[in-house]
Amino acid sequence: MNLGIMDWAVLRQLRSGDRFGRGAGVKSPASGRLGPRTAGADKVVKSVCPYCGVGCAQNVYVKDGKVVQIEGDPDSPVSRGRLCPKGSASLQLTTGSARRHQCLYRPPHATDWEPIELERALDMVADRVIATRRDNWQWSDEEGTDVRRTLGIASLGGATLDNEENYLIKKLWTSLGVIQVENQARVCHSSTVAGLGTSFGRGGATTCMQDLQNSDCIVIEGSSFAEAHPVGFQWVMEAKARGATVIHVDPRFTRTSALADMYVPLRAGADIAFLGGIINYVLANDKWFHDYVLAYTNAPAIINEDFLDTEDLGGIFSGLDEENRHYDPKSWQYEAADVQSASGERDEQFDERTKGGSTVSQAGGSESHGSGGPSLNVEAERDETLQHPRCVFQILKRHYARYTPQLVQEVCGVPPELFDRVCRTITAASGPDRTTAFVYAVGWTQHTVGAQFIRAASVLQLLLGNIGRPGGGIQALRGHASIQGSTDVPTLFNLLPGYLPMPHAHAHEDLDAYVAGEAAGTGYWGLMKSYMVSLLKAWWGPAATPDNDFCFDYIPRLTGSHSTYETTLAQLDGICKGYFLMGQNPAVGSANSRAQRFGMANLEWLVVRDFSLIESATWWKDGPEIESGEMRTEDIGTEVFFFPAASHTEKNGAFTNTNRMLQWHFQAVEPEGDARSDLWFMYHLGRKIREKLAGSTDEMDRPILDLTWDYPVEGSLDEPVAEAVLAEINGWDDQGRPLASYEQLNEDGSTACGCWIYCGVFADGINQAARKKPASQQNWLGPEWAWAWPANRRILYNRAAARPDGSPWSESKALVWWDPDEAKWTGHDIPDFAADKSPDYRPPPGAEGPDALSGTDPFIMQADGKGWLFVPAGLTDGPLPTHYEPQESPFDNAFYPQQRNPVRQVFSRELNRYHPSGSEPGADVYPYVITTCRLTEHFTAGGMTRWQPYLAELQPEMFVEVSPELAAERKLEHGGWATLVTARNAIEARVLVTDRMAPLVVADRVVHQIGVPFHWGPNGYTRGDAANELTSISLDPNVHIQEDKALTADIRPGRRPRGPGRTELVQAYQRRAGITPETGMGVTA
Amino acid sequence: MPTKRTVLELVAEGRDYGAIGRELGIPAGQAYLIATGLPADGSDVPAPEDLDRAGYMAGSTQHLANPTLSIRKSEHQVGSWLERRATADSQMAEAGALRAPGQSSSEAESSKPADRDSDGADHESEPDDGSQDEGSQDEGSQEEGADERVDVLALLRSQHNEVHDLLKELDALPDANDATPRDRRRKEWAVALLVPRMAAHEAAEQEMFWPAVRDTIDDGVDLADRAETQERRVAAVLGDLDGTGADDERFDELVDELVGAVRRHVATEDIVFRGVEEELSEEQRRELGDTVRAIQERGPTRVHRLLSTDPAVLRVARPTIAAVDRARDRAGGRRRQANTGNAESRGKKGGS
Repeated sequence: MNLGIMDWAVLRQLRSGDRFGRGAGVKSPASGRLGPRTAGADKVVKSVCPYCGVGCAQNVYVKDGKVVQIEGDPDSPVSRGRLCPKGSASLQLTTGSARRHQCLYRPPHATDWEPIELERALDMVADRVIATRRDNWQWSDEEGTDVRRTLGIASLGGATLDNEENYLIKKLWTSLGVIQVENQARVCHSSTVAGLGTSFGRGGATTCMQDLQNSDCIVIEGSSFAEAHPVGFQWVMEAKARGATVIHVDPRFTRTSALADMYVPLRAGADIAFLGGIINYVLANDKWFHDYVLAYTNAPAIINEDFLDTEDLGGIFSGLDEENRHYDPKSWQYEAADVQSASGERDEQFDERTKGGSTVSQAGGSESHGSGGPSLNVEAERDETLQHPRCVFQILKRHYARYTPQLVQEVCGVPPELFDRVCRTITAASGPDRTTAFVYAVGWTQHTVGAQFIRAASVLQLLLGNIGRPGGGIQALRGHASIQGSTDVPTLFNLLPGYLPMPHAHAHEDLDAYVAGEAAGTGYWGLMKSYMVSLLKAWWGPAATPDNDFCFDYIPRLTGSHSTYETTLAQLDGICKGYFLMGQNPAVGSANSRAQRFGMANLEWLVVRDFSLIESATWWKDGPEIESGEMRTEDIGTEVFFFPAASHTEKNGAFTNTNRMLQWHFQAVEPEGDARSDLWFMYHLGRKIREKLAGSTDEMDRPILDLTWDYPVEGSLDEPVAEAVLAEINGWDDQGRPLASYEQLNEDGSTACGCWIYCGVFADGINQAARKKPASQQNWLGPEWAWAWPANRRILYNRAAARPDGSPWSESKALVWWDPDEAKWTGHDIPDFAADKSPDYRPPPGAEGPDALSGTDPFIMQADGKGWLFVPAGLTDGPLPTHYEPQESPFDNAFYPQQRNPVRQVFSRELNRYHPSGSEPGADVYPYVITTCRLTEHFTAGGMTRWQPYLAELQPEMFVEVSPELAAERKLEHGGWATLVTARNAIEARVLVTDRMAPLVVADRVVHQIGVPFHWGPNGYTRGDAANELTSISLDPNVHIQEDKALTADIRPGRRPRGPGRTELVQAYQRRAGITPETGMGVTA
Repeated sequence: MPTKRTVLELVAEGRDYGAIGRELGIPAGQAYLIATGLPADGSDVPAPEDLDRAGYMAGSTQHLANPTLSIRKSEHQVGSWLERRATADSQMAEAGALRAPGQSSSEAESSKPADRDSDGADHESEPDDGSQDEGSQDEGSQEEGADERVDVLALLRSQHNEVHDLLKELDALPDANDATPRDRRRKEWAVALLVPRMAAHEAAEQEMFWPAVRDTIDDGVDLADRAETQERRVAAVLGDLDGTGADDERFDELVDELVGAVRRHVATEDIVFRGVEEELSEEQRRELGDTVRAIQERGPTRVHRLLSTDPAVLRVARPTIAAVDRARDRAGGRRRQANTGNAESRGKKGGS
């Protein structure tokens, strides 16, 4: 370009009058010609960020058929236009060079990939599914009970699958008899479903993120909200700006702590001790919300006289069957009543409730149900004075009396003064005109008592009267775009859509026996048969008739737990032979990743669908065991297929975010090359399998051949119409009209509905999930932005926002109230209650379903309409949260002689050894506490971030956080290398020495904690050892989630050994600690 | 570059930012930024109190800064796909037909698979062949043994719940504009089920229940007066509805009115019932329950708009009214309901 002298900057400034160079005068012609990529785009397409569960709305800018930019959509009431580093890098995620666009095939024993045509690969996979299924088919189990299934095939999905994709996955696999269908939701938030579900009736967050702005106090515990869900954290800051107190309780001081008013460091895994201490404070100082507790919780309910508490039995509850590691929950029941849970292990009571039928297995069962409550067969006895020694309130008081500030200090390492300040702040910010919210994430869920962590917060929030009210509630921060969605439309072994339990194998179980066994007769679960029949009609259409029990027998049966970890063990045992990974990376992302890889090496075939060649796709040629010499590529017989996946910008579909909100993202461009959506993959795989089996008269093929699988397709790729799948999920009536509400569902086959809790998302034939009314034009709940289940209610149990008589508790906390003139519930949110049921309604004797709940029962999914302080049914490890030490802990349990959760799931395997704990000999070989964590710039196992240059640059290397004291003790250098060792494996990482990891004084001695981020693995731009090499498979018995938030380890300076030396190091440690197959396996030890 | 004043003057003239941008030769979003200091793409989130500024537009301003919004609608008609699925499912159609009684038998047969229709003669008399017997329809206490005494509150509350279910069904069915013939039949059917229930319920209440309420509970007189006024309103609407077909243009309006009137009335009675529960002993409530049930069993099945609320008059008039109602029922006015007794109970259970 040719600039004259007069164009020089200084002269231009003078010439234009902009003497100080503050305006256009200093802009050069070159920069003047620059414009944002958004300006030149042809069109903008509405989308949703595929990373965490906040669900930030995105604008995708398209030019000439290519995505050129992705920005936040300011109209969203949740994100208000903001994106975090990951969301901002989603342009690179979707358009970057790391994405693969060609199918690859690795024949058995081959040393490298070969390209393969998509069509041929799909055809081969279909053949393998058919053959493996046929060769591994089970009509009945060892005891002769019908199971109609195969354990030969398993599927594990990521939580960035759209609901529509999850729906097809579950539908196809179930019709094929595949039961080992799992999802990231298992390893992430399954505890939430059990914890919140049994307490309140639904396993989803009780509130929405925007409503945090109305809180007077926000307690963030088990989450680094600001780092892992940065955009959602703006609502905490809004609350703080309005005067709320923010408390962060966490082993690590993070950016969340930096923005909090109070930071409380505590020992990882001691949260029930901490929360139990607050419960004790509330009860002992009479700080509970009397009117709320009396009217809305089960505090007055009287418990069975056979019940014995942990106070009576040294830390265990009555009903323990030591030999089988199992509780018989019968003695936890209400006096003179038999309730079924809305959630949780509902199958536990099958025999009891159906008067016969043999339970084939006592393990497994339906996890916690996202939507449910108990069934009362007889009205429970209550003592409204709360004085009866066996009423829940008194039991609660006795149970928590031992959770004193002194013991809290001894176990958690929290000084009494600080603890007292927390108690005072929370109770002062609760009551008729104030509310406190609790926010947690996987810091609570991933424990052997994960469900009970969440239960403890539920008990506290009920006592304080904070559920169902603005600024109150419990927010379960979901870490993935559709973690909530993948439990609602579950790709989980134990659930059918809408939290209907998968049936267990029982002799002579028909549909009615299933409903009688699993459902509450009262509350909205009283209508379970309508939900179930409508699901069967959606799946098997004309084939499902009353004469054949609506094809109820087509659903394969469970016998115990078939979670992703049991699947890994089944792979090691050679039972599971074929494996689908749909956007999931267990080779680094699941606990004990070494066991995961050995399991995969034992498969006949493996299908990986992802953007890039993640570790789970390449372990056979470059995994850690190849390097150590434990595996040789040529010896590995596993056939591996790699199918490139389409990104969120390349397909239509909905994610369900942490607010239970279904948000539709529109396709911006077609996927390139062989990349396809999972909707495409499942639909066409199912189509091929059905074509190949057509004409089969084999009874085992009836469910797949009778399956409704005629989805319309569109475009050059024959992509199934996602809206058609959504319409099936929503349901229709006998005239083919979309249903508007689950209350319309019938049990006679006249309605079909793929997921009853999503019924209404396609009301009036309109995709309600695609609604985009700007936040500025509606109230803070954003009722016309997208659609939330159930029935577009944004704050659950909001009947409790009013007094029993229907008037708000206070003007400042009004949300939903009774309008006596109109005889209707009204307010800012859609009432989570029958809109015309008056506060004075009382059920007549013998009433069923919703009619059985009174006008003052806000927890409408529960059989008694109450919030459950005490859970009489639905949990496998006790009715009240109780502090147990983690599977591996440097300390003895100071509360009880019982060290650990007696019924936790542990597996004694060569690859899965446990450490001694507390005062057991050898425990000091692994003296430090590890807690795993997430960074803002990376995501889970790294599959969606380690391949992005922007993000790799921001967080370039695996590291661990240690305190200066620990660094001194172990001679670790800041920036240098350290090796961490457990009985599973050894990893290396850079050392970050920081005051943020404060040593705690626990049981009169100092304990050091080490923060270990999850995200690394050997592939991608930024590489490092995976944290999951260290973790073990030790699970919560309710939901089979792994304990990776608290375990023990040793740390030493320097890099880990290469080659065989790595295994030798691990074994040397095991020998030093005296580890045997029995270590850590005890029930009552 | 245009100044803030220039842009604001154009805004004051009533022009939109698109037009202003075109006139000034700048993008519309830039014009907005100049006028207000706010980026039109929403990349700033000012506090509400900072929004009081000239040129500010409430709502989204993204369109000023962004290229055209593209929402690719599937060319596929999902609606017709659903309709095809429903049509292909004969069991679903059959179950749906049973929920819309009153249809001609030919229609019922045409929606059934031919092979199931072997004994056509019995069809009309047994829409429900018994295999669907839920065996649990005991909530309506009329079905309980006559010797079992019943609490008046249990009786009346159960009746409310039945009524409530019918109202919900009525509420959920589409308005005349969108209704199919089957919907209309369902609506008529729900009204036909509602009328005798309300009639029996209210008649017995007027005769026995309100006098007791007036005598025994606090605010009893006020509450009873209010309830009776509401009852008259309900009776009036029901009277209008009785004999009004769903094709009638007034039908939807009357149904809406009915739903509101009954809802208010039920809410009032909920208050009354709680008072009765506190004031009357269980024995008294059972006594009252027996009487109420006896009246209902012999009572009128139709609503009488001009029904007197004087209990003395009622007691005299009741047998006559009931006899007339029964005669009218026999004459055929109520046949469709009599035909579908079983289907009714099923509809009630499943539809709730």
